Amino acid sequence: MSLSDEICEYLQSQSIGLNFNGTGGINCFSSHLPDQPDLAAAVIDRGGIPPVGWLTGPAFHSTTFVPPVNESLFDRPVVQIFTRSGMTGFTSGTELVQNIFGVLHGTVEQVINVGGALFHLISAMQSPMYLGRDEKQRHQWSQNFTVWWENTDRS
Amino acid sequence: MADSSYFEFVTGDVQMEIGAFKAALKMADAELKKIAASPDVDEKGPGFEAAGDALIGAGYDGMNKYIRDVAAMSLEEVPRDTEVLANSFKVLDPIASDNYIRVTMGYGFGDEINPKTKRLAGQYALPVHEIYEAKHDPPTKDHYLLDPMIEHSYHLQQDMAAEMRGVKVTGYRINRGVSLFRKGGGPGINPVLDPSGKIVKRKRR
Repeated sequence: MSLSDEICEYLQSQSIGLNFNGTGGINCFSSHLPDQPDLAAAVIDRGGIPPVGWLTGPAFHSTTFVPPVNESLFDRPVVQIFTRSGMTGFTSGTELVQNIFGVLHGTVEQVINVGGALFHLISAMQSPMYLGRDEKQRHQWSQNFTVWWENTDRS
Repeated sequence: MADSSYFEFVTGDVQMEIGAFKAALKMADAELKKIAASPDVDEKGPGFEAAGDALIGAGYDGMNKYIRDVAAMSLEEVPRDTEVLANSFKVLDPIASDNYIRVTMGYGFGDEINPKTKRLAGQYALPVHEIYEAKHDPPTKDHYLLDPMIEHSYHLQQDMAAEMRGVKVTGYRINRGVSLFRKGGGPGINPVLDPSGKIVKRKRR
């Protein structure tokens, strides 16, 4: 599962009003925020600092040299959460933004979804930022998190 | 309803912790002074604590290299339409205390008005930075400060370490031919311990 999918599933499970793949109206999206619904959030994978790497081996078997292998899956990307609410929904948008912040910031050494990856740390890079209104006068917020996790999505 | 005016600077902080570093240098010097009390020491250097300012200055030089690299990349990636946003970039004077040196850099400073939107850069620097779906001509993009800071963060430690390695730290010089483990001088020999732990003399080869 990709990082943004993992985060979306986790946000859905926390009963803060976001629905990623459950029944009913979907309002939590991975990588793209569609035009509807108004009250919605998108989780976007961004780049990050280099992953932590460590090597196993090398192994020597008689005359055969087996080169070391990088076994680390410890990645450290940045995730952006983009949230939007309707033209008259500033309060509901603010509440959703703060709930997202509260759920994610400070997550430590946790498998956040059943059968999912281990998250060593999710930490906010700043408080949620209000960005003003879009062309349809809807309110917008952004927040960025550093994520340290075991990226089982890559080999 | 008209948009309310607001100012949102897009800034990044680079901070070097020096309080613990200074304390460690002081401890190293205290140990060194004990050695200096020995009659075997014939030259006393200024020690680690005296070199501390030079080491901190070198670390700060490394930090400045990181800031210059980030600024160069950021100014390539900042969206440019009227140049007002790019012109609002600034590196503030460093703030230093006993514990840290901090440098803040970013966008949204100044009072230049965008001729197209009639707004100050500080009024739109943040939305331009954060709205990821806006179209920008390459290489300009959103996250035009955060991404360069992240991309160069790996080099920050290396740059600081490289500068610090260039600083000469002179300690104390031990009299030639004398082992630190022997009192009273004598030919330079490596200490050899008998089973009871006592230093015994060993003939030179």
